[in-house]
Amino acid sequence: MERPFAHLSVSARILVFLCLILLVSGVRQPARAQTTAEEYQVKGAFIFHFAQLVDWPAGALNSGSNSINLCIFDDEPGRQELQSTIEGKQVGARAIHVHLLSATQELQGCNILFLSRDESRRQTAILRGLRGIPVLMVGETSNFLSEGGMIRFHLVEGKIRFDINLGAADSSHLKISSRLLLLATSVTYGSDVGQGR
Amino acid sequence: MRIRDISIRTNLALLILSASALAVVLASFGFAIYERQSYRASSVRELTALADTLGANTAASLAFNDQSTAKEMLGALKTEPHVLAACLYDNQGRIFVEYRNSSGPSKLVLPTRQPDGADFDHDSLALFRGVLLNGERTGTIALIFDLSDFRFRLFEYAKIAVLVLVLSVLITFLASSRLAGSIADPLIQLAAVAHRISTDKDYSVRAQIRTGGETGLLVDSFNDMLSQIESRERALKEALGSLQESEERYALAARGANDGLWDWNLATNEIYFSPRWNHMLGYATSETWSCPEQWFSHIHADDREQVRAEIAAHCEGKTPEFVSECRMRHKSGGYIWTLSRGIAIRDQSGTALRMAGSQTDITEGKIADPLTHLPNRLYFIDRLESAIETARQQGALFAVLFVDLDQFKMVNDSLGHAAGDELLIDVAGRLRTSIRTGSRLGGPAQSVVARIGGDEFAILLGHIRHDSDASIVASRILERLNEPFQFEGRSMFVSASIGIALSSTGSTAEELLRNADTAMYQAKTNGKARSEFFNEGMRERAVTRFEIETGLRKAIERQQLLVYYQPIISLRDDRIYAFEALIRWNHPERGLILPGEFIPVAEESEIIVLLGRWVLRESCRQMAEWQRSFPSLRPLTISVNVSTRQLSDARLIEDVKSALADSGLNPASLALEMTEGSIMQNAQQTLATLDRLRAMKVGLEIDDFGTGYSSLSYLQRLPFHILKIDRSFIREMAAGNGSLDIVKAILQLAHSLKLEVIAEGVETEQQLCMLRELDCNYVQGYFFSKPVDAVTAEKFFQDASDSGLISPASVMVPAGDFEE
Repeated sequence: MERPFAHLSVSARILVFLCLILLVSGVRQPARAQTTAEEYQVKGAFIFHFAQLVDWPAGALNSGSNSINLCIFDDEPGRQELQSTIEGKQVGARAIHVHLLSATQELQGCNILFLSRDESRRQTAILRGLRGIPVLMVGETSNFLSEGGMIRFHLVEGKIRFDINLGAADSSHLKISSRLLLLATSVTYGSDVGQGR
Repeated sequence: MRIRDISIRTNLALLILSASALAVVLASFGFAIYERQSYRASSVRELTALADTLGANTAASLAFNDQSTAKEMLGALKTEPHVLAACLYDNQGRIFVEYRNSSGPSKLVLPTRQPDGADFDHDSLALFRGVLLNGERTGTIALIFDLSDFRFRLFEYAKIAVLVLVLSVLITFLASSRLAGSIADPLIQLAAVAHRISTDKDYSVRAQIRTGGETGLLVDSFNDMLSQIESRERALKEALGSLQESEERYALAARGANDGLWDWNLATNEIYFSPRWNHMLGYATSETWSCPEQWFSHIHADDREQVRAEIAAHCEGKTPEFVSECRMRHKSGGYIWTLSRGIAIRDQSGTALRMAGSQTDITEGKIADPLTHLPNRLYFIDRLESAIETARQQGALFAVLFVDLDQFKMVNDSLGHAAGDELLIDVAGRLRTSIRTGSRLGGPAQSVVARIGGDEFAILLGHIRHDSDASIVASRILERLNEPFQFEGRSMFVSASIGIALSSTGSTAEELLRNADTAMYQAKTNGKARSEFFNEGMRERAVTRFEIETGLRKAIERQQLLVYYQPIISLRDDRIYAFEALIRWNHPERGLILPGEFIPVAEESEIIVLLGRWVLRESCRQMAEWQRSFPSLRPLTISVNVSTRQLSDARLIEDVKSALADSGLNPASLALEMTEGSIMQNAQQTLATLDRLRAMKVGLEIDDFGTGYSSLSYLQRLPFHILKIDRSFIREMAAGNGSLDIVKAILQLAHSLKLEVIAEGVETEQQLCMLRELDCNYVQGYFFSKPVDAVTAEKFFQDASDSGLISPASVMVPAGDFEE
């Protein structure tokens, strides 16, 4: 029974990929408008589970505040949904706090950084600037992983799935649980991002 | 067949078997339950571990909503054949992913999400566990586990249990039959022995069972018990034997002792009397009595209450034994004397339950006079009463003879009591033989000789045809007594006076005996040594005598007695020499009574002593008074009669002394008169008394000389100074029948003994002349004066005082009144 689905799934992936390109190039707005609220709630939940399955190196997390800081730029479209979903959630002994950023220089103190599709212009600079720093970078753009991001959301058959760049995580000394890796649609080991190293 | 009827052996085996079977079954059940519980617990444990592993693996899938990965994870359950299905639920309870075992039931319905925990169905287990992702619950996993395998295992266990049960029952059966046998066999044997003993009554049998423990103890105890029973049985038999022996011995002794036995059960009021008891009362041994009232009805009416009281007293514990003497009616109608003795058997509270004892015929000892062995007065009265009863019914005639010895007191006093006893024994024998030979018609039952007093005998003559039969017997008795009695080689002569009362003269025994006594008294009065029939006149005289006797006692107290005085004339100077004091009774109804009427009655009792004393004092007082009143006259003498009883009374001397002292009379002015008979009654003592009186200067005179029989030797020895010739000789002097010669002889004798003589009863001048010629000293009689009272007598003194001499001629009193 799964074979036809798997066959379909491959063709569906191609279709979704084409669609995404189209969306990014011109028809972003309607698509974005359609998915925003529900989509970012799910993504918020995903980010929370990521925080559960990722280990930060010693000293990376602020020992005084007992919190894990999720940084989102304040002009992000789904920031409110994200914030409402994730704010205050406990990960072990720590609670997740959402920080709304206005400038790049404010990245200091972030433990998780979510970059939406709208941040593609600043994406490269931000990713480059944070290379080697233990900040879990989660994004949505297609080149997010190749530019040094660690986890990228994408849609499969209408369902939100994710890919993982294990090399970027390694270089930032973040340890990603095998269980998270198991669930990733694809895991790259950073050969295409070797430039950064 | 009920359990209790089954033999002990089967019972024990059944008990052991059922106990062991029950134990195995219970153990199997317990084991099965435990096994089930532990199987379930281990299943839950295994399943929990499995669920946790799966949960850990699928937690992230749930978190990231990745069903395909989760499906792959659950697919790993293929290696667990007992997991029928698995299911993942999201936090909203919706089924996220499911898994079904291809070998399991195809139509398995997946359960809806349940709270965490195990949920047992009858052959499946559903376990719900939370799925946690780093402590955050992302969903629930459910595993359905197949428990049907356990049923198979349980079946296997059951097979083993049945096998064990069969084996254990077999083993316990073998073991228990041996065990039950070791317990039951000795008991069964013991029971058999006990049964045999109870049927054979052979206590020498012993249980021969060798066993230990409590059963052995039981057998030993059983045998010990048998030994005890056997020895006790033996002892009992011996005791019974000796008891029988002693009973026989006692019965023999009782028969030998002639005792009747009685045994009274107070509870049932039944009484047993031995054959001898019946025989004693004249009943045949076959006449059996069983009621105590029969006993009481045979007791003499006068004794019955006494016997009842004595029985009651003993029953109440007041007396240590019951002893009673009573008269019992013999079948023949008479009474026998019996002595009954008995002891009561009591219960613990002291209540008498039974009384037993003996009865002895003591008639012989009771009625017999120990000296003569004749029946006593009591028995005589008893027999007399039966004779009266018989006579009343048959109209028969019988007589009562009262026999009194005339000289018994003399024999007793002169020869001693031994002689008296010998005499009584001899008389008794003679009386017995007189009756026996005389009563051919009637046997001893009709005639009885009894001793009823000192020298008094009574004879019952039964069944006489005529009065003369009684007088014939009386004559024969007198005849027999005429033969002399021998005592210590001496011959004695005694006579008896017999009174005869015929049965027609009285209606009671006492009356008849009294009548016979009265007749005997009459015979004595009539001269002794004779018999008299009782008649009504005698009774009247007897009554008169009784009246006199009682009247005399009052007469002394009421001063109805008087002294009369008769002068005694001295023939020397024809003047009054003395007065004789003579007693008179001034009876309030009958007037003046002469002493002849009451002195004999008084002499039969002590009254004569009182009378004599009174006369003595009164006479002395009177004479002393006269002597004081007429001092110029010659002192006269007063003569006072002394009776036989007075003479033997020890107080006579004292009486005389006090009479003289109180009156102031000169002893020489007093003379005491006594008869020869009264002197002879107790000559030795009288002689001493007379000597003392004589020493006091009191004159002594022999009265009625010539009538009694006197001993001339005594006459010589006795200190008399005057002798009085009895009036019978004086009266007959002129008749020419020898009385004159006697008077003459007496006077000669007296004078030769230096005694003066008084002639009594001088009534004519002829007698006086003859006496003068015979040289008689003094005379007394109606010729001169009858006895006169003191006032008349005093006239003699006054006349004499006037004339200077006392002469009877001056007071010639016409004769006519009778002198004593």
